[in-house]
Amino acid sequence: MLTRDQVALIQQEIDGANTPEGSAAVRSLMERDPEARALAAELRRVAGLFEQVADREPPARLKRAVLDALAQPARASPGAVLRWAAQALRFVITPMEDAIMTKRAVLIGSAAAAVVIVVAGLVTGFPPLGRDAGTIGGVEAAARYHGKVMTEADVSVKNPEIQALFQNDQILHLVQSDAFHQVMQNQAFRELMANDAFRQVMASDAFRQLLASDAFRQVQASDAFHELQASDAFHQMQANAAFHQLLAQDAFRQMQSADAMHQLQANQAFRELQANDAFRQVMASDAFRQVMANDAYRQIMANDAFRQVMASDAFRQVMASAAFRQVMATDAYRQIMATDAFRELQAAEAFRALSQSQALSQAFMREAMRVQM
Amino acid sequence: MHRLRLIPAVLAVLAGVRLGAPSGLAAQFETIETRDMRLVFTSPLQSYLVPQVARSFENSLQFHRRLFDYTPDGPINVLMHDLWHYGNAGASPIPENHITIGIEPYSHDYESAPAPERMTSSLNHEMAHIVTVDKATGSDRFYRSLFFGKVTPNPEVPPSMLYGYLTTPRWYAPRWYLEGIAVYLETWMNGGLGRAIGPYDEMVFRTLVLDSARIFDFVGLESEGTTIDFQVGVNSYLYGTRFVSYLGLRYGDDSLIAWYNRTEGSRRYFSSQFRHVYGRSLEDEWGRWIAWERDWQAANLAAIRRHPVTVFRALTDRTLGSVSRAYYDSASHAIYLGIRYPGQVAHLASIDVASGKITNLAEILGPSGFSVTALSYDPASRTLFFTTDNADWRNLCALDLATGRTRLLIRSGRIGDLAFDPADRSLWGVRHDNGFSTLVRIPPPYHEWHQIETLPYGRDLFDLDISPDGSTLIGSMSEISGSQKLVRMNVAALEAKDATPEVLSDFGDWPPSNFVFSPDGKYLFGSSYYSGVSNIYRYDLTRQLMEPLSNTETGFFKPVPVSADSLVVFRYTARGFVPSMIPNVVPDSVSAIRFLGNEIAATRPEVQSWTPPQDSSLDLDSLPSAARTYRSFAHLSLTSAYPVVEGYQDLAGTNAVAFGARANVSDQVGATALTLTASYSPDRAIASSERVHLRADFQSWNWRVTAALNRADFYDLFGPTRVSRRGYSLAVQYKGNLLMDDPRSVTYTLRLAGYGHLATLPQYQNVASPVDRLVSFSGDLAYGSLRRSLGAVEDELGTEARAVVYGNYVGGTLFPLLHLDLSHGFLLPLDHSSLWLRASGGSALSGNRTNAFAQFFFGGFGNNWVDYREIRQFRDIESFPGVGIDSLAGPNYGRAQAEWVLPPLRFRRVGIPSFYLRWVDLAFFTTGLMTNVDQQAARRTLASAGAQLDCRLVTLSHLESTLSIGFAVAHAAGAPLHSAGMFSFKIM
Repeated sequence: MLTRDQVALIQQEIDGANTPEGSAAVRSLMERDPEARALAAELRRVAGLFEQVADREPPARLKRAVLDALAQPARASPGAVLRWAAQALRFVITPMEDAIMTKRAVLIGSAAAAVVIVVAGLVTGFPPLGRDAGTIGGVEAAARYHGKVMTEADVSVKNPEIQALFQNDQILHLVQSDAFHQVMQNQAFRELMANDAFRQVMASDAFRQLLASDAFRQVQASDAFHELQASDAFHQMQANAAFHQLLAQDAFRQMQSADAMHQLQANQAFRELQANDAFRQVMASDAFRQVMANDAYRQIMANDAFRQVMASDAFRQVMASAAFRQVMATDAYRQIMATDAFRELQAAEAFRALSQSQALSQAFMREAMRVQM
Repeated sequence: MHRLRLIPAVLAVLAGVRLGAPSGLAAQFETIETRDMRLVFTSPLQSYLVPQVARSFENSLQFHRRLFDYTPDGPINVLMHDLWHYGNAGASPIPENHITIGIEPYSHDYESAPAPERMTSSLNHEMAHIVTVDKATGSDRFYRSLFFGKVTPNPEVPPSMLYGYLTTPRWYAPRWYLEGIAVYLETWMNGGLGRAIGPYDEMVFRTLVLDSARIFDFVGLESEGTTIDFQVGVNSYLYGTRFVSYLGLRYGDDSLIAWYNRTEGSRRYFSSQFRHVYGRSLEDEWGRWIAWERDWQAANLAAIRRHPVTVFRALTDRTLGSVSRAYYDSASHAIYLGIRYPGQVAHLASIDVASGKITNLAEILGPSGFSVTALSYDPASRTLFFTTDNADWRNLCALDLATGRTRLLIRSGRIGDLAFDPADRSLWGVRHDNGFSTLVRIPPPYHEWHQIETLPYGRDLFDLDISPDGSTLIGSMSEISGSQKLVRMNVAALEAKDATPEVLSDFGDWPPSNFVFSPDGKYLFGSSYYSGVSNIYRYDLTRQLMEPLSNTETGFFKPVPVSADSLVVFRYTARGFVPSMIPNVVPDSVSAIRFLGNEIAATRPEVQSWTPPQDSSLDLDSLPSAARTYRSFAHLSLTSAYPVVEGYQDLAGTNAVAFGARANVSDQVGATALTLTASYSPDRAIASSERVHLRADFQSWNWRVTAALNRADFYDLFGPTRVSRRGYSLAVQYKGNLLMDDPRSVTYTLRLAGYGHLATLPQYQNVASPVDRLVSFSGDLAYGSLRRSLGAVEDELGTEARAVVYGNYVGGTLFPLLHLDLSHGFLLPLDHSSLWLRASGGSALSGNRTNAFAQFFFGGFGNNWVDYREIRQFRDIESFPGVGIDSLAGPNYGRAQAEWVLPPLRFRRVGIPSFYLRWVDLAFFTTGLMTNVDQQAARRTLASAGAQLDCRLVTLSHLESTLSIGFAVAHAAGAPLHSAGMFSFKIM
């Protein structure tokens, strides 16, 4: 801890009042003592505040205190008392100002005192400046000493938004549900999570951008998409081998171009899929059509990030993996996708943050699993 | 508020959580070690707080290191958990330095503990405890090395009291002494935000002076003030802070720090050190402080009286102690609220506004200290919504006023600050979980809550109210800095997830409290310490104008508008709050009072530099990822070892004294522990095979394993009760928990034990064992719901029930026995007086009825001359005062007992600071016993009546001893009267 002499030396240095020897001593002190450096920095900051003092209006209570002090000599003069009393009938403030005008010497002295008090207040925080007496009519505010007040900058928390997700009742129900538990315990899901390709997809910038995009979130949050995901047909289609083969095809990934579409039509997997009842039901469903007609969906389709994801080998491998298909085929997964809670999770701001960070995503999943215990 | 000695309770709850949960939960405990701290947190969900805890810890340690020239011997253990509704913390220096932190937001009741961000504030406070009680001189270090650490006093080994004092002398001081310096330092470390500049503290002492009430001397404070006053333990903080602040103001901080600093040449005992530093006795200076305090408060009262003081009319004759928020029912002209005062359990009550009559509506289980319960009212259905288990994980309940029926709506919902929306009949509240405050809505039928908004860490919302038309929600919102504002939110917007608050009024330094709508929705009424005194304020929502409504000398709180021209407020008095009526009129002016803390800041400016440095040496971002699963076995270490002396009695009745040593091993949170005791009886009258005595006791979470060889015991050196036994034994026990909803619990215990080379039965000291070897088992299912009122010396009402099956397997024969036990207690109208009724019965289920293993034995008071077990052992099933120990027996029995406990007599001042009497308590009892119930020829029926007087003594502030004397007369049909006396001294 710095001694009082050392503190005084630093203060004099800030004020430019040190002798050369004193300045040398301060420099030496600051080189070896971080507390001295911190104090000097703080004092310089305060010195900067001093410059603002000239423009600062002293608090009303201070003004009143000074004026109260001035009124006492005035009371010695019966004339002054009468003048004060007469004016007091008209205003409260005016007579005080008159008194000040007639007592220039006292004014100068008291103004200097006021500046000293204001400056002292800025330095020490006491008496308080932030609250003027009389802000609540007729009530004198009690003084309270203020030292260094904590701010948000003084608080270090790490990813509180993930923990905050668990304050949502829907999400809490979700992660505590049997369905979620089944998915977490599902061997295929675990394999999928451990799958390099899957992890590459999840870690890719494009995928994270996609998940974080407004369009994607709108689609995910839409009733039509929700209905589609909940439908048996969609569920069957997702579990369909041909569908997965199709998703893994270059042609499908390039289906935005006409040539690719032609190639797709010639594709065996696509033809099998077209013959599939579930696929046809999905295609014919209102929900699917609404999704397709959705602006947000179209934006996604045109989204560079989406295209990059779709074009990546890793994505292709994921789509082709047995684990992914098994996960898609589980009832529990489907139940989760159909829940309001999952939609709420997707709609949460924190989920966007989760989407943008693989580390956060993993942290969430880890803790979701632990919440289940 | 900080609890200093709560670590065992925390561990017990953690163990309970562990018991009631799937096996993976214990694996959720994680740990991180920094240079100076070993942090354990009970869930990975708390990991986001790790950087803040580490940073606050390091900053605080650096500060104290410099102020006290203190360096801890090793890393300090910190346990972070989420078991309480409000933030709290505790510290203990034994056996290792340990801090416990609950992570939830602080309570804002009455602004009784102003503070900024809670981790920083808690660690500033708790670290002060660690430093002031752990810092050692050369002699302390010598004893620590002699005993291999700091010794925890253990009732099983009374000499450990002495060892503990030698190793950690400053721990043996009254709580006010420990809390006083912690609050004082914490206030300045928090930049002035703390109880040393607390408006509640000023109010308490101002009111004591105004009411001409007793300001306790420092012995009376400990013996009486911390128990009978409605503030109970809070008085330690109030008095300690005030006295320490007075010393700081009057004599400066150097001498104050010298009093607390354990430097070379300092005195061991705190009061001796006071004289050493200040040159006069503590008692003398305490008297000076009281005189000074009276002058100080007289000046503040004079300042208040510069303007007319608000006239009030008390509604009730008696003070209510602590009170919850209140509601006025215009139909019945009654006020509904929760109240808690010494002598009776906390309850919901109605107060007739006209007559002041108080009616008890329903008991509140688990009330909180200042606010009793979170309460809300639906006038349409005449339903009171309230919370139980208020200090821990709150339950939401409802009381139907028409039927008087109470329903549990949400168990462990953790929701408080209730407000009722009359528009859609939903409840709103604030949920505390994992360190977050979440505004929630609970629609009818009130079984589920829905998140509205989770506030960022450090922000809290409390004191909610909803406008009569259901359109607007108001509340007080606090920030990391400790500042608080009155805010308004639109309910429709909230339901659409827009929780942007509109600040109605910023009271600056003095926060708004308990603002509520007027019945017409045009005004808000609440309180604030704006002038330093808690006065009532009215906010005109149309004119957006805040106006005062009172100028009181003590404090007005929790206004309830009852008509256009008057309000009910709760007026603070020295004995608690009194509902009072005041006019809805704006006074001329309200003067401010002065704060002792401000005077210190101005007079002793060095306190302004008492801010912790910001430690930047930690890589905070990487800390959470460095967490590992906490394995208690990996953290076991020797905490202390010391010599013991024990008593041993062989089969021939030879009493021997054995000498030996005991070693204590524990992990850093106390979840796993091992004690080993070995002693030797040099007396040649004892057979050589019985001279060595060994005992091991291993506990890990809910498992316990004990083993013994020729067990000896310290208490066998005295009196008639013997627990020493020849032979060897090994027992394994598992204790589980089926329900933990304080105060209710359902536990089960399974135990398997084997014995060899037996001489007497393990349970009955006077019954010779007919066999050499024995295997026994037991299964125990117990329900408990015991409660006590403020200021009680023991549980005063409730129910206990127990069913035990146990058996002995001897030589191929199994002897199973069953007994059932039920007790129920009532509080009588006389405060702290209760009546207990107990009944039990048991029977051997099979086997030869004459065999000792198929018998129950009774007799004696049960207390030893010197003891460490329960003081009133006449309540135990095996006890039958008036006849000899184990002198009655039978294969089945029925037993009934009635006990009347009189109110304790408390001593205001009998003793000196290091030794004083606290209370004396008398109980009368009568017991009936019938053995061989099913065999008329062998049946015995006996009755006994007696009394026991217990006197509580306190030594070295921490060590509570009890002196008991008893007398009983027993009578059997056709037999002469037997009488017996009892004397017992329970050392700890």
